[in-house]
Amino acid sequence: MRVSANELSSQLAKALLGLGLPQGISRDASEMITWLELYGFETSIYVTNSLGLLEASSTVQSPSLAAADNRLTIDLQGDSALRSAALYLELAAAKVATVDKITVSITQCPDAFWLLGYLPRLVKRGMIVSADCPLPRDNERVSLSFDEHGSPILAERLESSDRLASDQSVIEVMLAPSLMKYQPISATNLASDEPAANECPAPPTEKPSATDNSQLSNETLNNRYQESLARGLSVSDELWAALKRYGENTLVEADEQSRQGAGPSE
Amino acid sequence: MNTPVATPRPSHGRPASLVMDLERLGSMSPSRLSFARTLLRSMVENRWSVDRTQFALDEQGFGEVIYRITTPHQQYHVVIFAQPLADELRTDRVIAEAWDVTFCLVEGEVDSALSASLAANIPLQEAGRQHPRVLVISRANKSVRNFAHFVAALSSGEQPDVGTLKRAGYLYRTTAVYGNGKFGIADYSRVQSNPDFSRPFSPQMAAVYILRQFSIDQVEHIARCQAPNTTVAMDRELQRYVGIGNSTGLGMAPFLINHPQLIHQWIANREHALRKASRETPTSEDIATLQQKLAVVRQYFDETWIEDPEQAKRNLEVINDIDWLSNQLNDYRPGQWSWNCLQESLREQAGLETQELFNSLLIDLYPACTDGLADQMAADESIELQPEMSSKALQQLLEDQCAWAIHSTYEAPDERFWFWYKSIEKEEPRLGERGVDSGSEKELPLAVAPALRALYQDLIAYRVNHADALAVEFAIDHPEHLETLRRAQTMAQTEFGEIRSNLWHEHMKPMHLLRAKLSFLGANRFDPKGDRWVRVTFFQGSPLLSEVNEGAIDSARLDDWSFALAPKQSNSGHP
Repeated sequence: MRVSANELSSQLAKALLGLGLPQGISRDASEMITWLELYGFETSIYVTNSLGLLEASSTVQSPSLAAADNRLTIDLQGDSALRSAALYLELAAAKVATVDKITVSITQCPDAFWLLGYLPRLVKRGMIVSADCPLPRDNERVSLSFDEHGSPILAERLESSDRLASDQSVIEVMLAPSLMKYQPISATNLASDEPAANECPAPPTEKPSATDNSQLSNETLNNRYQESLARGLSVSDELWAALKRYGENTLVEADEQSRQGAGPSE
Repeated sequence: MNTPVATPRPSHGRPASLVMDLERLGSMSPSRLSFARTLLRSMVENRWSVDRTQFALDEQGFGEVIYRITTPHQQYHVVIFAQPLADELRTDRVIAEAWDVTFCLVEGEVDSALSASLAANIPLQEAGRQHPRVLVISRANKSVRNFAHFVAALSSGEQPDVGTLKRAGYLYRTTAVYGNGKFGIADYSRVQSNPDFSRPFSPQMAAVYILRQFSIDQVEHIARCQAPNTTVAMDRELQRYVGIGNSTGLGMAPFLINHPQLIHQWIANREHALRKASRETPTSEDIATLQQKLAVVRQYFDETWIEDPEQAKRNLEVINDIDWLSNQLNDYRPGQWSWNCLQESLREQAGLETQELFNSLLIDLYPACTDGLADQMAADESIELQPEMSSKALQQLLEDQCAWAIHSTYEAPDERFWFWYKSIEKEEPRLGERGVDSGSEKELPLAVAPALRALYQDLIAYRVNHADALAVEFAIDHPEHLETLRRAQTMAQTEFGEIRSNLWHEHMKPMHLLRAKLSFLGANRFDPKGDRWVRVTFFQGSPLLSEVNEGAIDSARLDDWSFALAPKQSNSGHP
């Protein structure tokens, strides 16, 4: 079925509220997922897995945070990125004005890719942002940077012959104040043995040997965005039913007395 | 068009503590800035034309009708389905599943595939899956009494009794008008960049305006089918007096809370226009024009029949206030007093309804004071965390900007009387009595004041051991406050976005929320049914489609219809 972006975002937010996430977290998570869909990353098929992670809240340990120099490392202990990981990006954003750049590594997070959908918000607040992240599809990772409007301008998909171990799932986000000259993380940087000219740190994962380098231009991504708005977003019936089911946890059963709660209309 | 950012204007006018009082907001009247009026001005100024391209109704008026809107940029179509409806199924509630009429506004052409999709889904409304080229979907029910009378009168060669429209100023009333991506239609972000419909609610207003023409066309058609030899056309003055009703309940209430930056933009622009108008020095001509308008408004309130006794009483008070005001104006000598002085006098002398009515009339008196503002009614609605703000600064912000909310405890029974929730029945918003009705554990977070209080309390407790924490560190440890925290930070940069009321309070009237928004939409003839439903009328008195198409309307006639007077009729019903 096809749904509008607003529909998807609203239903996701309701489902996440129904799972017990706070209002602000639910809103952010729903917008992250919707952003990735709008730009054609086709990640909605992984929403169900993330909802399962969120449902397993009783087994979740609190994230652990390590800060050293200009790097924040957050170990999410296997939890979903949808729960609170974006707040750690905000923590980095709070510190970025006082440093040249800051790198955020989020580890032990099976669905860290959702955080790509949060980054445009940081860009629109004046930061330079780039990110490198494995996608849930086998042997695939993406490298993104953004223009000043928050539109993705460079996305490279690489196939890695070295599949990441699940416990090394990681997203690396580089933040810099906008006045600084900065070179974003790129696949070229990752593939090279030479350090990047601006001292981008190598990602903690093993460097992939690029067997396929499909480059998506800003124009291509923006075209996808416009097409998504024009045609709607494709969502499986199963996912929609699951979102509705979770969302019903926020609704109250009706009876005659509750109908009076809306007042008489006639 | 770029979406303007909601920025505070230099405020030397009315403070937010006055303007954002819920009861005052609920006393507002439409003005030149209202969206129904800006739409019609835009249609004429930009030379839109509307023609009927399909009229497939049977003798009972059931079938499909299409109106085509042509603008300088492109074409749109309003597609209307009229279907039989048993009287016992006719309800204005959101939980309805069938209606007399369902309709939509579509961008571009309607080919056979889209036509089939619309025919299958528009009548289903929320239960259908709508096409992404649909900008608006809506539905409407007949005023059964008016409709039957109009058909009977016209078919017998008589003009309908205008008195019927004084009681209910319409043949149809809408019960929901959806935009912004609902049920698969176009997202607002697509409409935002549309040069014809970039203003908030302009596509919805356009669809409703066309429905008004349909209601006239349909009733004339049915009369002609019943009595082809004796039927007469509806007199043009009577046509103008036909509006479109709207029945609004609690479903509209969350909007006022969930879109604070938009509300700020609307009210800030209105206050800006009011300040400019208030600074004008009244001339004798201004006074004479205002007197004429007051006479019209007085007659309007006098002849408008309102069912709700409380509102009827308020309307009588408005009439009394207008009489007092007219006397003041009669005695005016140039330079004797300013508009500001008169507004001060009204605050002492007159009720809220009259005060805000006068403000709307003052804005209308000086059209130039709204120049450019109609194109600035949209807003950037992003609410972002300022993570680097210190918790100390955050606490100070709450104390400075949210004093209206944070000093109540919300523990007294009357302070936490209601809770807002959504029913499983079509997610209809409802009010429950705390401790009596079930569902409070699923309460909607609409009551901003108690949320600010809870944030403030927890922040103070947090800072005992984390005095130097940043706002984001507090949010990490208290994610339940994230939304309220960043809302407080964001709205601190605006003036008019927060409605200063405890929405839990026993004496809170949701009606005020509804009426505030409806006044900006351009509705009039407020007829509440209790404090949770209201019937209003749109476009009553507005120029006809034929006049818009001709484009030859003088500016006074084009815009001066907020308080429509009934056309004069002889006893036989003829004008």
